[in-house]
Amino acid sequence: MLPIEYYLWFAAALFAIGVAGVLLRRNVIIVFMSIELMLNAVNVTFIAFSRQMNNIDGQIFVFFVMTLAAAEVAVGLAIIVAMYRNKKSINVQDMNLLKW
Amino acid sequence: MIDFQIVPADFYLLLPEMVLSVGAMLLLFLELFLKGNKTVQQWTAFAIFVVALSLLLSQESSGATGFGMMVRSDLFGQFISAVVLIGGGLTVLLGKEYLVSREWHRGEYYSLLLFASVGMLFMVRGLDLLVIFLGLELLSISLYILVGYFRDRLFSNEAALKYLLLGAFASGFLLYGIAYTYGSYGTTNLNEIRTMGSPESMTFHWIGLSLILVGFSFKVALVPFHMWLPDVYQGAPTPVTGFMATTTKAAAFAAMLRILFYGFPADIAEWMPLFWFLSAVTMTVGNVIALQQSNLKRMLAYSAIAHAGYLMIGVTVGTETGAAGMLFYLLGYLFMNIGAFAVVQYFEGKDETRLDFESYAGLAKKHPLISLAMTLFMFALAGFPLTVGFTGKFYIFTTAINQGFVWLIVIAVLNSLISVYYYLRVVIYMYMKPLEEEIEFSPMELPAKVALTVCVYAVLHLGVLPGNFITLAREAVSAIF
Amino acid sequence: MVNSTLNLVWLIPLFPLIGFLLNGIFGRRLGDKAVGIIGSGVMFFSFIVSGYLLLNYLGLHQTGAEFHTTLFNWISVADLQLSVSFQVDSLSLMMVVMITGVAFLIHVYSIGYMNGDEGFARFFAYMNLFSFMMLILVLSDNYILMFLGWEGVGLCSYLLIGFWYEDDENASAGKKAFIVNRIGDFGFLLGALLIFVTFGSFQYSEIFSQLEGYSVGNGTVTAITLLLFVGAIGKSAQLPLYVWLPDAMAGPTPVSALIHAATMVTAGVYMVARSSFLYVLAPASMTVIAVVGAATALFAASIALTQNDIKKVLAYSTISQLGYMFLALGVGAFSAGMFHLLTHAFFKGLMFLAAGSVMHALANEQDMRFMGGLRKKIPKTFITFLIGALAISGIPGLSGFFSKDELLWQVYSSPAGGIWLWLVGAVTAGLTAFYMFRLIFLTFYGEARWKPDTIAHESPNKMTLPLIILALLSVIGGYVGVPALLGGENRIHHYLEANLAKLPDDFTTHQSHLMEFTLMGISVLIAMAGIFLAYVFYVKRKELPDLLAAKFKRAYNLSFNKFYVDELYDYLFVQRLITISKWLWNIFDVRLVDGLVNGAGQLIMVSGRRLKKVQSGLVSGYALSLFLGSLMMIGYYFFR
Repeated sequence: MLPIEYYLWFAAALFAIGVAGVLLRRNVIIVFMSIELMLNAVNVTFIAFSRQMNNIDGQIFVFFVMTLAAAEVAVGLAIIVAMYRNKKSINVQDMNLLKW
Repeated sequence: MIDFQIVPADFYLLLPEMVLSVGAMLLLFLELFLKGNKTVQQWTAFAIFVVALSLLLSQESSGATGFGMMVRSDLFGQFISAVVLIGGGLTVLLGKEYLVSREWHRGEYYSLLLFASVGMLFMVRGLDLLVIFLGLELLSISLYILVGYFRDRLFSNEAALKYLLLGAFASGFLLYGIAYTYGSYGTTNLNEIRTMGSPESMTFHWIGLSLILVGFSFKVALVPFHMWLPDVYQGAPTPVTGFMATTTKAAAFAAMLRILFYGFPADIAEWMPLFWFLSAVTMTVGNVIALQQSNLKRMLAYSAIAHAGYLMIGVTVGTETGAAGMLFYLLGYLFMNIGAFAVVQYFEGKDETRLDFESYAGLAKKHPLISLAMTLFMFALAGFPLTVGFTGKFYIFTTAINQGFVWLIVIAVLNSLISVYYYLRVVIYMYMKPLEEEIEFSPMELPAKVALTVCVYAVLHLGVLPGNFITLAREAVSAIF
Repeated sequence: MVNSTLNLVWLIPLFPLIGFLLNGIFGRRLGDKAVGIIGSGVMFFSFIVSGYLLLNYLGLHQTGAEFHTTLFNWISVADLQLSVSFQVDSLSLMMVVMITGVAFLIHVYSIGYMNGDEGFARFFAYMNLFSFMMLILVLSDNYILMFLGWEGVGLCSYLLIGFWYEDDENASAGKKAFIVNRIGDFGFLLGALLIFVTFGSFQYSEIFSQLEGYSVGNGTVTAITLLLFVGAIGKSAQLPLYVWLPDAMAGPTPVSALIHAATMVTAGVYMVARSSFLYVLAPASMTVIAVVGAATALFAASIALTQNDIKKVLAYSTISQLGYMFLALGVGAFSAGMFHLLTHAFFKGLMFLAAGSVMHALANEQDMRFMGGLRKKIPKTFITFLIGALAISGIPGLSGFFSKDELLWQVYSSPAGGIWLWLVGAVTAGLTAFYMFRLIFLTFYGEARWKPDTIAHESPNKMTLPLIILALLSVIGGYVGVPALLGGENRIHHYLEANLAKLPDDFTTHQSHLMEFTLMGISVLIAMAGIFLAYVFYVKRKELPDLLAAKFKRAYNLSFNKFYVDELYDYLFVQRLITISKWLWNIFDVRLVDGLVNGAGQLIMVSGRRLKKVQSGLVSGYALSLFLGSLMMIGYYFFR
């Protein structure tokens, strides 16, 4: 069995890429995808721990996270669509009506 | 052979949540038939909140757990759940008028409020990080929609999208933290974590707990996790803002307290310096920026950040009395803030142009009673004696200073004195400036009047005779220590 | 102790509260007449009850008796007991009788003064609310209820300063009062919290009963007393937080009389006297109080010399007199300080009301350069004002003489005082006499310099009657404290001292009667000299230009010499003084202190303006902040 550190570092890298995507990308859809990447990193971590400890709880958690991600995407895309209808843009830099 | 066993007590324990969930779906369904009848929708939603609240209060607070330690019924959970349900009920009463005047009255509003409340109830009554997390997400997703409720308005869109992106981002951190906690304890159950005492891996434990705290710091808006809050509060429909500002804060703080104090009692002392710092920075930043606001909703948003800082003192102190002070203050904060937003929503007008201080000039002459109520809420938020703002702050401050947090309280007192400036400014404008223009407001409807009266009464009652409720809060927190 | 009659104390604040509610809620519907009757009637009832209680208390013949009445428990949990309860003793009864009495007179006066004002009902509602809060402040038996009153009177003062709200100046005056009082409240609240940490209670008697275990000079007690004194500095307008009081004169004159002369500004003095048992354990704090008091007394008096606004002169005079009271408290002469507080309430309240009557006569003119020659036109106002000025100057036989003399003597003889502090006090007395009579002469003597189309007329009876009563009190008010030296018993001292702390050694008997008599003589002479100088410069010098012309014709006339002396005096003394006074006002008052106060406000405002720019509205910025925050959280573990 591959030592757990490999999985954890892999997940951490994935998480970091996700964070970087949120911080740097401007397209709302891509920002959203980056967040999904972070959630997937979490899933990898859960499964790695679950496998390591022979404990099923972590894998159950993963199912919930996946469900949740789906729900979030559903709502998120709806909001993005609504936004696009009004603003004709999905650039996060354009969302600056509310500030200070 | 597996022995299937379903214990009725488990379901009895979750009755409030079940009533709320079924009610929420029922309202969605009723929307089909009751499209025209707004009053029925409103009162149905209100009745559901009342039923859930009475079921909640009728439960025993013995600390019984259900569904394999997934949820726990104790006085702590009951106290905050009651805060949430009262807040939900008041928001239902306040919402209809606001939505009708903007021609946006839909049944979804009520059912989303109910779903959000279910989420919060799970957050505060859950004993497993999984349940707490799911509750948090149910709450968040409902709120994303509620914030973006006016889907043809840019402000609403932008607030919702910001909230969604940052909320999901913070959820990522929270989940990552839960994963590491799971890695270091082999379980996500707070009770098991508590019994285990020490983790298998100290590093994992610390990373896990820090990231969980990031998630909750985001929800309660501690600096530097607060940036979303002013924008979202400003862009959201005003009743929703009031709902978010009070109930969500209560639920998130309660979940944070339960995780920290119940799950990781050994860690509190270690975290103290960081909490101290977060508390001091949060209240200062919130107050100082609030001084510069001209939009009332945004001012109240920064004031909410400042209040998160005051409440954080209770976590910093880390004793039962500190937590009790927080609970009591959260109860009081519910009434003063929902009341303040109720007045804001009444005065802002259909096109929401009357949100700055100037438009409050001279309103006291035309609307003496509502202005008086607003004055009371502002005084309460500023912490004037005889209001709950004073008793609550006073209790937290004395507790903290008794534990030796002198400098933190020096900062807190200084802050609350600064804050008087911007709260009182509203009062000054209402009473001391000449009326700018004659504007006719449609008279407040009965439900909103009832809600406002309840808020006024509660602010005064808790300010003058807080004794029983402080005692109750003290009993409640003993459940998580 | 329980006493069924004294338990009626809750009636005293109840009446003004009823007045506030009636006038506040139904005010506009009741009509001005009813509002005025209700507003002053409730104060009258309050006064009757207070007087009745005082007679009862005196009839007990128990020195130092304390009675507690608990209305209800405010907060009652295991580790925190807080009740709404009143303490009746000599100190609080004296204050209550004074407040209700003076407030009643000022309310009556206001009926005439505010006649026809648009916000008549609102004015009376606020005044009643103020009286209620002030009574709570002095009757409270714990620091938190006192704080409630403390905040309440500040709030009412704020509301009443900004009363004529169309005026921008008033709004900014209110703002400054607000900032300064915040600083004071900060000190008070921290002091109260520190008391709670140290003694586990907020109640005076419980705190003071634990003091035996504390030695003189105890660090905690010193910190507590200094913090409380910061509160007193803010409320009672001492250096360096006095700036708000002159500005507060923008409010209506009855407000100045009630709040900014007789009652609210003395709350700091009352609070220090109430905490005297703490203060005697902290000699360092006492010294601070004495020095601040003496400095304020001298400083404010020298500014008052050159002010042209009649109310500003009185305002600086109030600051100066409050400095006197603190000087007395600082040397341990608590009862003398309270005695001066009492007489000051009479004559300063009187003078403010009389100034209001002058303004009333001259269509709200406040500048003394446009007054003059009013003596014959408004005789009642003139006589009463003169009595007030004589009283504050310390002319024998009037109330101010007894209290000021007692005060100065104690300052001299106390081990904590001494000749230097006495000297400051005596010089201030001279300055006080000078500027007071400068005011009298400029206002009432000489030719009329009124603005055109002004018809001076005496005020109605509603206004002059309170003046006459207060003038009477300014004359006889001092006879409660005739010192033994003059054949009296100093009743008020014996009445008060039982509820006040004493310095470790009793100093009043150490000094000789001869010394006391000499000092009394000196201070009277100084006061006379002040009045005389004012006469020379503001009555005689009026004719100087004419005299000059006449005298040059008759060269080397003897009287030229006199003129020369005048000029020399003028050059050596008055001009210098005026220069210093103006300089102090310009540099210190306007630039430094105002600058500091406004600067502190500005600093917070500017940092707010900068900080809010961080909130750029961009999601990536928000996410970055969140991310950095989480790095901080994790980093805290690794670098802990």
